[in-house]
Amino acid sequence: MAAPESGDGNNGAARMVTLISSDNTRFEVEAAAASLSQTLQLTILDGGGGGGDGIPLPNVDSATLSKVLEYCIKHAPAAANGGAPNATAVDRAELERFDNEFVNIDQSVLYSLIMAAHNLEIEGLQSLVAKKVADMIKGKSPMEIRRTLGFPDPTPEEQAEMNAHMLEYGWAYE
Amino acid sequence: MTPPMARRPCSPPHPVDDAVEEILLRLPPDDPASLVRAATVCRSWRRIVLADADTFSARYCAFHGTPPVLGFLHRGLVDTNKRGLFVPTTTSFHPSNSAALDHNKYYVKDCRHGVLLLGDPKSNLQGLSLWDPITGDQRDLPDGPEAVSSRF
Repeated sequence: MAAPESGDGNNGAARMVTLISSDNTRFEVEAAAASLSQTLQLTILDGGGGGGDGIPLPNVDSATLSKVLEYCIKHAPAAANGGAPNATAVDRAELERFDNEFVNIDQSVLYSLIMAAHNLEIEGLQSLVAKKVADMIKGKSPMEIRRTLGFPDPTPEEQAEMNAHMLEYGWAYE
Repeated sequence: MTPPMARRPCSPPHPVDDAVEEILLRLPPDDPASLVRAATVCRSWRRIVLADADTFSARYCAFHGTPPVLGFLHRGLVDTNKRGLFVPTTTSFHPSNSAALDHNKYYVKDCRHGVLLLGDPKSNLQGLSLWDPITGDQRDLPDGPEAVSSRF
């Protein structure tokens, strides 16, 4: 496969791309890491993001983008190996440790990551944050789940629907 | 005035809205009640789990692979130990209270797709009952002719 044009003529060095957050902070990262985003991958394959151009990300602020890129940089080598089928147990354990620590964050940061992972289509990150929320809500009652996630109190109409559903599936509440 | 149908089920929009299906997919299969309780949270979550049941349940099964063993039924225990019919193998799941667990008149005759056919050990087509150990639903079947002697 032909190597994508790097634009800097610096063969051998990893190709870098620039991402620009919604608050105009520029992040220079390896194309391989940024390409974990399905959204960015096509642009990067087309040679975008290099040089002084940069790829604007109007929906992602710099704090969130920094966190997202931390994930991408850590996971890029394994992704480059096709999910790293030959990775050692130590490598896998290290990634798992990283992932566990990575989502040990404030709920507001977690929410920003959920939206960024969705917008940028970063499959592994989407999976990681979804698992984190699933862990937060499992074993909880519907009202506890609503409170955990900061949903507003149900309207009387919503409450009536919740009550009806709880009555219908009473076995899940015993 | 906004028509009622246009109002968002979990209004206002919540950051997890776009990820709800991915989140629900990751609820543990060895605790079926988790998914049911999540479906109660709001209308849009309920719609994902229930209204699109074929889509979601197919994804859920594919995601988790072989369903976990929640427990097993011990045929021999039913007459000697009223509570021993179902032996749970996970800490998170216990069958709902049911007449089937308390009543020593039942004998496990067969099971298909998670539903048990219970009945009188001395009769083939009388006193039959269907029991779903996950939901606790139990439905008595109409008696068949006593004379039929085929075995299940």
